[in-house]
Amino acid sequence: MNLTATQTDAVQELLNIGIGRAASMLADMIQSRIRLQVPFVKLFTAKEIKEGLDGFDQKIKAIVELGFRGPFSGTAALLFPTESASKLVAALTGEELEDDDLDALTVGTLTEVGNIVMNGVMGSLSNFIEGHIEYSVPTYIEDTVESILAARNSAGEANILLAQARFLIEDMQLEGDIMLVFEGDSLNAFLNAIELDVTNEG
Amino acid sequence: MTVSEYKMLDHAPIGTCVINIHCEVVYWNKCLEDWSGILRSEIVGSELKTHFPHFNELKYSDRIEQVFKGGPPLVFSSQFHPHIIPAPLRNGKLRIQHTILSSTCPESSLYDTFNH
Repeated sequence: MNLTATQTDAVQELLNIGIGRAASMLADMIQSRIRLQVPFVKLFTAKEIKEGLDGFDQKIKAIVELGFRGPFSGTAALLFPTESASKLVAALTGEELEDDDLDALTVGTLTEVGNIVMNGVMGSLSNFIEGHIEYSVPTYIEDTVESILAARNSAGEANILLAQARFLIEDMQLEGDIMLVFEGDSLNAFLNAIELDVTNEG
Repeated sequence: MTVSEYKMLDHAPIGTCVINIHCEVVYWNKCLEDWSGILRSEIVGSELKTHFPHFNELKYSDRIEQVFKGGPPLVFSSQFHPHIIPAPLRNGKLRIQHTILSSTCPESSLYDTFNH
């Protein structure tokens, strides 16, 4: 399954709107200039991700995940290489980085950052779907993408929207990934809603 | 959940309060009474921001509003919000808190915060 050019543009725009809100909230919190961008969006099946397409490595990552259930169901996650995660927290808090290990304080901070980013994203995406969505409390884990998919997608039929998330803080640029795992037929429901909106606007 | 059902929160060793869509306190558990020194009878029915003016700031009001609109739960980390409900320890320092705000019942517009 591939996204059409219209769908790609629409999803990318929605993600940019969502993380734009998140960037504004983060900037307000840290009293500093911060920009967030989504330079690209791609769609994968769980099988493709598992096979390591597009350089999706199997290294342990720092992950903040948020489950959602309703008209569309799945898991939203913000993923960073662990060293980028600690650099991001150091940049946001202005504190010196002693090493790349993530302690409880850093994990809490990263969870809040992930929470803000994903709330922006989910807020933007859910505007297109009628009906109530139930969310889990965001959690932090360190694991591989393959393990996450195995845990969240036992049927192996999920579709995964993968978007690069670029954080620009002062003169630093850090990159992570936003991963949206849509269970079952959820992605089609979501894409149909977007198509309908684009058609109505056109 | 009804107010009487929130009494079970008095048995949790976690500071917990329930607020409604107007950010008025609906329940204030015993742990928060101990931590903050504010009695339930003094705070229930009043707005959180009356007691804690920082809740007027956008970084709180904007995010809390999104939860009432059906958005995901919120995390307020101890690094950015160490004293969301100021709670003095015996040595005079303030207790460090990590706070979660989540919906207790989407239908009733009642929500709660958990501090620990």
